[in-house]
Amino acid sequence: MDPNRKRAVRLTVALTAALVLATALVYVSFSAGRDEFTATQLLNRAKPGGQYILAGTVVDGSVVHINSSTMTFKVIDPHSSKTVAVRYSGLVPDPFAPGRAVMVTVNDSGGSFVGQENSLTTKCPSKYQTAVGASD
Amino acid sequence: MAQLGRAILLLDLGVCLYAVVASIYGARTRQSDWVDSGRRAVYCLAGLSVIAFTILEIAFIRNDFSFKVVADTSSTTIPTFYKLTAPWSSQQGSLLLWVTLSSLWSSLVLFITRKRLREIAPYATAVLMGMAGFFAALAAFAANPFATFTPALTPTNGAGLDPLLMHPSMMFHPPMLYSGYTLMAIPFAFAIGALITGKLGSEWIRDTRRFALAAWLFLGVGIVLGARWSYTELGWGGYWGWDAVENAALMPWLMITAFIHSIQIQEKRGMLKVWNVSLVLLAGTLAIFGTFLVRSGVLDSIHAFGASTLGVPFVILLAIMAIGSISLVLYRREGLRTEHRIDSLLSREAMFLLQNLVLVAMVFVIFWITLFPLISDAITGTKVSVGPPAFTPFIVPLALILVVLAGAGPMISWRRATVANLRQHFIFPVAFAFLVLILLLVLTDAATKPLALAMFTFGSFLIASVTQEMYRGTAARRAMTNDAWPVAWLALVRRNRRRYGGYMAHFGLAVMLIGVAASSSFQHSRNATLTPGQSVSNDGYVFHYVRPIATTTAERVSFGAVIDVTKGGGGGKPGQQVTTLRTEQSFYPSTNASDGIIGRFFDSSNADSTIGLDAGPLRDIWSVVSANLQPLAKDINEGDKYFAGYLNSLIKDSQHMTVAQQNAYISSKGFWTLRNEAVEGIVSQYTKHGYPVEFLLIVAPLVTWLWVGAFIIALGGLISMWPAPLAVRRRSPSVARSRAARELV
Repeated sequence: MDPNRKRAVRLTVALTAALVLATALVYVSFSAGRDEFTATQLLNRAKPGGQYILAGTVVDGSVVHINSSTMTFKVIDPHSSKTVAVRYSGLVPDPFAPGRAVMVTVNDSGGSFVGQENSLTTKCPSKYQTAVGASD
Repeated sequence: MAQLGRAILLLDLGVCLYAVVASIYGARTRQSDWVDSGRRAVYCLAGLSVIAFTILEIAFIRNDFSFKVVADTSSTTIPTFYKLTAPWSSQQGSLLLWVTLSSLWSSLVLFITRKRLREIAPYATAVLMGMAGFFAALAAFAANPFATFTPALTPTNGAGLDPLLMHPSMMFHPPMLYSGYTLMAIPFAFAIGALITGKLGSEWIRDTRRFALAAWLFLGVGIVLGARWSYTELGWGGYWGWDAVENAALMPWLMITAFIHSIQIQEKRGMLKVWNVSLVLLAGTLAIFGTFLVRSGVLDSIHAFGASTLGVPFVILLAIMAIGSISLVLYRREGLRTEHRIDSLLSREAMFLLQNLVLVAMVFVIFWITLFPLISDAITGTKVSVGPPAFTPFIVPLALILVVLAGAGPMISWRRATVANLRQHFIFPVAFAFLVLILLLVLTDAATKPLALAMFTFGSFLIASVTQEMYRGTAARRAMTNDAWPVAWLALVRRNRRRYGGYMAHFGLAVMLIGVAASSSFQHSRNATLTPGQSVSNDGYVFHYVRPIATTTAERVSFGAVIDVTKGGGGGKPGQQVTTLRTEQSFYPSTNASDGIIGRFFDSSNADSTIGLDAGPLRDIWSVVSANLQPLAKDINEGDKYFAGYLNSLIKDSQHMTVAQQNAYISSKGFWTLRNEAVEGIVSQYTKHGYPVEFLLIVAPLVTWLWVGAFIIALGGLISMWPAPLAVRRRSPSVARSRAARELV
């Protein structure tokens, strides 16, 4: 085969492969993705039966242990005063505490939100917090 | 000391600026004195930064809480080992560590190349010092590690280090990552130098190849140490969660992996110049991008790096790096034209190129999915998280192709492979892979997980191909020297470290990915709430909760469980004892007075888990307990009320005294002894009553081989990096060479 034609074929194959990969990636991202909501967005947009990721801060004094494996807590939108109550069963990460930023996958079960088992993640609080009260 | 530290930081900044100006001025005017002065300024920066970092370490060791960063991340009670690691747990300390490591590595490369690359090195110096200056400026003005309290406000104790960070790997994990990131800047800087000067041959690649390998090695070891920390400390049972911060380190590592492979093509055949320079520029930019992700808080991640104000400066730096890189590549596109073209798709060059494309595709996938919440937010106004499951359909097939290419590449000739060549090299590895496939299909249930089965098969192909290449090389060596097999193998590796170190890394990759495929596909995980005496089964193992345990020390209170694991049994017969696991959750006293005099010892926000692990060559049995403190809440509340009242009455009795006298009076009344006894009493309730507790129990096969594979990869990388013996020692008599040739036919 003519070398130029061979190169053109190779380039076409490579670009097609890249296009297929990119298309699949975009499709999977939009079809398999779950909306990541703040408390305000969740209250406004959640529909019964839907599954969402709730991100926010655990409200002080809201953590109530119902039994050894189940608890309820409220998550507040950092940009407003709206809160969402979550009933959660499963593993609780060590840094989980009031005032900490968390992410949890929740199912809207008709007005209340139930956390998916073992889906609670908590930000590690030790790193890189802004210095407070320092004097240079 | 703090003043000296602050002064050194400012001096660092001045030295960086001087090095940039002197190097560029020297290069432009061709005055070598200025260039040499710029290089010496780098040595000076290294010395100053080491002194500054030493000052910070001393402040931690001496518990000098006038340093804000010491008060924030250390305390009198944490062990000295963790006081040494605490500096890099803070934004401020880690920036200083970055400057220090960056200056040390820059000094090393500039010292080694001081008599070579005379035209490129000054510009590389300017780039390296520009980047070091950026971090020095952040440390000096945005996150100063030498910020102090006024004497009146200096606390008597610090807030302590997060318990999660008190893990031996924290001594090495962050410095390894930072070393990887800072080393990544070296080939980046020399690539920029080569582009500016138009010296686009292979010289700069040859002289910085070891630094690219070192970046790959350090970053890789750092990533694996982080995975190990996650597995043994974070209490979720996994070693990789596709977290944004993990991905931030993985992307430049994959890119530099592509680079250290493709430069071989440029060195051997003068091809892929534009590709290589793009790879190294991308790797350097991704290293900074990873740092931006870590420190800007732009993405939600299990690592918390929010509350940081460093996002904007990093965006500016990234923009400069990206625009500068693209502009220079476009400017020099003529000089970057390839000297040869790929002759055949069945050639080693083509394998290298394909492998490069796969690695770049992996980076693209990771980049896209990691940033997708931001992309979707920009397009639709809603953040959409794709999460870890989205990585599997893309990354696993790409990894499978990579494994095949890693096995095939070294067996295929340069330029064009012949059918004879393919037959000679491929028969054994392909046959071995088929044999493994058949055995797995017949003897195991691996067919239920096709992707894992494919990885086992392709991994076997890679292992067989590397073993075959090692065998052939050793046989040839024996033919020349008549050495014993192990001696001949060691001599073979020693005399061609780059090649056989690489093969060893490929072997380790196969072992590691087989471990990953098995442990992720055939893991059995189970949550269970148990009271002492109860049992639960998981993957054929019976987990029996024997008894609760609880301990009180000066640093923490711990609640845990002893679990007996048995296998088999049933029908009235006891199972065979496999192991006994101990898992604990420890609570470190909070410094928040509002938590109560007793309650502060049971603060769940200062907790960490100790997993119970029985690791073996075939499977890991992993457990973690979530302590149930709910039944103790009443006692804790009553204790808080009682001791608050008692303390108030003691303060009232001693209100005419000085603070020191008052403290002595409170102690003399046995207040603290009584409080400690109360804490111990509450803790003992836990073991007496045996409350129900939540467990996560995991049985996962072949996890150990992940760590073993990673170790082999690192060893291979180290061997590849190590300087080869003198060329003259490699020479062999012509008679021996011809004998070796006959042996190989």
